[in-house]
Amino acid sequence: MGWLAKFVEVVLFVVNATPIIEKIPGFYQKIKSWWTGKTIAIIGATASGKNSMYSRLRKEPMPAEHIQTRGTTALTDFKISWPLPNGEHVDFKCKRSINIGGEIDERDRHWSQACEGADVIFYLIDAKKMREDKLSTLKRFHDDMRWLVTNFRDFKPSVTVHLLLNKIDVTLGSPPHTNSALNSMKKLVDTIEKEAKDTLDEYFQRVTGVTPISMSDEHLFCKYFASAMSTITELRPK
Amino acid sequence: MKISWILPDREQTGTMLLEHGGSIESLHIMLNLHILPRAFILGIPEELFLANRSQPVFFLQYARLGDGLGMFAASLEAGKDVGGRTVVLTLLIEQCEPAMLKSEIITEIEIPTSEVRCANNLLSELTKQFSERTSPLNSLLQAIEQFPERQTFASEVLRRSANRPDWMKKKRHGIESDIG
Repeated sequence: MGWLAKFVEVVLFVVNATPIIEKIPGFYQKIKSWWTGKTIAIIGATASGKNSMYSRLRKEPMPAEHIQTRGTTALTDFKISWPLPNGEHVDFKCKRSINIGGEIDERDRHWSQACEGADVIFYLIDAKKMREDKLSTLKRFHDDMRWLVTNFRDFKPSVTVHLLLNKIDVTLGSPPHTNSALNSMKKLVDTIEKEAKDTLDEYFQRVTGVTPISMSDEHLFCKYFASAMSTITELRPK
Repeated sequence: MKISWILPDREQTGTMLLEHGGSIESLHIMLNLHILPRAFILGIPEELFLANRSQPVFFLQYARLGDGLGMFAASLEAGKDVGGRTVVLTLLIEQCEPAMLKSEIITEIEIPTSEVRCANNLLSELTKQFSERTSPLNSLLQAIEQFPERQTFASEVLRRSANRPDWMKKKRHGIESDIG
């Protein structure tokens, strides 16, 4: 299944509250089994939502004051017990997680340290910026994918990268989403997939696609994040 | 000695800019990032903003880079960017011997045209700290002299940094001491 089909499926799943993954027998168990004990890293360009995602995962309130992250902030190891639609929980951990800045100089200095030892790297893309300034946002995405190609050798050989298209609520509007907004997002996802495929080349198989997400809306975050977890479990390179 | 300014990224472009002698270039192109120790931060770490504060955050660092030379940074909170995030202005002195760090150096510093008010505030704070014997700046300079084997020095204690400086100014009950 291509990225676009999966992306639309996830959006519609959230809009219609249809538990699509329940259709597959034993799938929850598969998710639970794969994610248990896994370690994650979060990277992405400036103001893409890295801080907020850590706050969501740690179930902390969103920061009242936003600050440009510079240097490396070590996060206390924390466990995540994420609820699945069937009421079960997936337990994984953020071990030796490091919060880093998104500027190019910070990427070149600190991102590899943040990604060392990670099983899953979440790469955040700002959907709002992608719509408002597509050219420069795509250029930065291209540069970051090149950075990944250069640095993959320093990461776990089994590492999986998953893209999260953040600020989807701002871009699409609150559910139910309009067809025109959804169509415009479809074009973006197609563009992102093409860019990733062209840049990552043989490493493209390490990327499990793009899932919409919203850090500002707790309900949407929970739904979309559960979908991202199931997509990664389903599509990760075997 | 080379004096530059890292300008605040007020437009959230994701590319930090370095102003030197009137020209502005991308920081990651102009500065050899690979020679910098990880503990040397090009700005102010987030944790320093999280404490209750009545004054703008001011942060000083020094890193030895070999041949008796090093890099000095003085960073000051510089308001908000377009998204409402707090950003920072940094004065960077490259190829700098610790002995060069005296109040007279301030007269040699050119102010960046785009950040005049903030740069003046930063230089005023530096001037003030040069004149106070127990200021964070003078403590840092004393530590550089006292601990020649240490590479990185910071004017504040960084508890949450993944890459801590070798020496940090400790503030407890008004007593300063080395905790590196």
